[in-house]
Amino acid sequence: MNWYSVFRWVVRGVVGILVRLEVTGRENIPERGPFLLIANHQGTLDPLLVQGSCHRTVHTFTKSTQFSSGPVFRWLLPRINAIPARRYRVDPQVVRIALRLLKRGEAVGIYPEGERSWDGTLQPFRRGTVRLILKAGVPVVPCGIAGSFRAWPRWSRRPTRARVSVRFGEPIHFGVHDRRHEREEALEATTARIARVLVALSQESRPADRTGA
Amino acid sequence: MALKDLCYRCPGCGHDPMNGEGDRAWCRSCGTRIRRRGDQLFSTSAGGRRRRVTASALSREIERRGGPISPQTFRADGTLEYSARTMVSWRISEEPVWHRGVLRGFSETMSPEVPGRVTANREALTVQDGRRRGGRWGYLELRALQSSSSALQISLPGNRLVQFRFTTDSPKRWEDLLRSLVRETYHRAGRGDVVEFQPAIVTRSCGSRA
Repeated sequence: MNWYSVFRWVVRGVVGILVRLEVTGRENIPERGPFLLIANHQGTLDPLLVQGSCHRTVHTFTKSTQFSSGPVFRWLLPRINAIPARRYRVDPQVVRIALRLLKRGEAVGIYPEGERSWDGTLQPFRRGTVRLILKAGVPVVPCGIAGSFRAWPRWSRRPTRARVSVRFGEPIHFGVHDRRHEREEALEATTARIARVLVALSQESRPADRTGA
Repeated sequence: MALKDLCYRCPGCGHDPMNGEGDRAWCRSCGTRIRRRGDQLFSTSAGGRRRRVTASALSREIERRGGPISPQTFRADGTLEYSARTMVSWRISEEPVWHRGVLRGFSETMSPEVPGRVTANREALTVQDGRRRGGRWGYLELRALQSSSSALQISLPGNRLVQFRFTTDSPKRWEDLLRSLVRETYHRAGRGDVVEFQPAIVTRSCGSRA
């Protein structure tokens, strides 16, 4: 039993109290080998929902200032496999770390929007994330979250019990794009494809016309 | 944060600012009230008609009414200038994060917050704080900007990062306002359309970092 497993069990308990969670598509998560888990970021609970729902250990990009926001976070975050990402500069270090983890056969989770949505809609993706996907060449498992904005939107101080669905889609293979110009050529199409899949996954089983998008 | 951070002006009549606290916001001009109840949002007009709304529809309506550019953002002489009190902090260090002998990356530490003021006009962003670490930067000098939780973070020349936590104003309004001014400045300077604000401001015309 490691800290990540303890964290996952605690998270599942907390999430079970806070929301009515429905998880589908777990069979799409590879049992072994590297993959990138790409999720939309609607609300405050998303990291708990994704890591609590995925049976593989996932290393997740986390904003670097979070690591210095108190002794609890400083102690906890490395133990639950958070990777500090400096968000206000091009950070080659974080790319190297992600590629190293993938090379070791591990899973890396990224929210390509970079920040929680204000109104529940999908925001533009960080181009650096898409470049990492193309450079890594590992399977991409899309994860659509629906309802977490209603459960705890960014602008609210309190969660409310809502129905939330986490849906893992079939892995997408984009292939390895070693050269920079290859990545640049594929950037727009890859971004559009991932966005389409995330929108589709996060719209399925969404209760219509509520607080969310 | 609060609902009025999302609805920083009235989606019903465009009045700026909205009043509110917690999960409720109301307009002193037209009487529109917006409230989060359970997992839903409701808008009630002055006449008492209540309807369910979505956050994205409210955002679109605010955008349609001018977004962050309102009569509040103009001085009496007609020039754009908007100012707000804020808590200011600066990045003071970066520390490596190690776990089990492996480098996980670098964490950033911000200085303690001090009260200050941030002002935006069409030419530049001005930051004043009690420690005199502020300054004035033209929008072409900003490297990146993004709201983060309840704060707005701006990357400045010289690898400096400043964070504003607004005590009386909406971080979304400031994010929208500064993005709008940055876009306008780049366009005016013939530097293309800004397509990304983080981790660096990127324009479409050249496709490289601005």
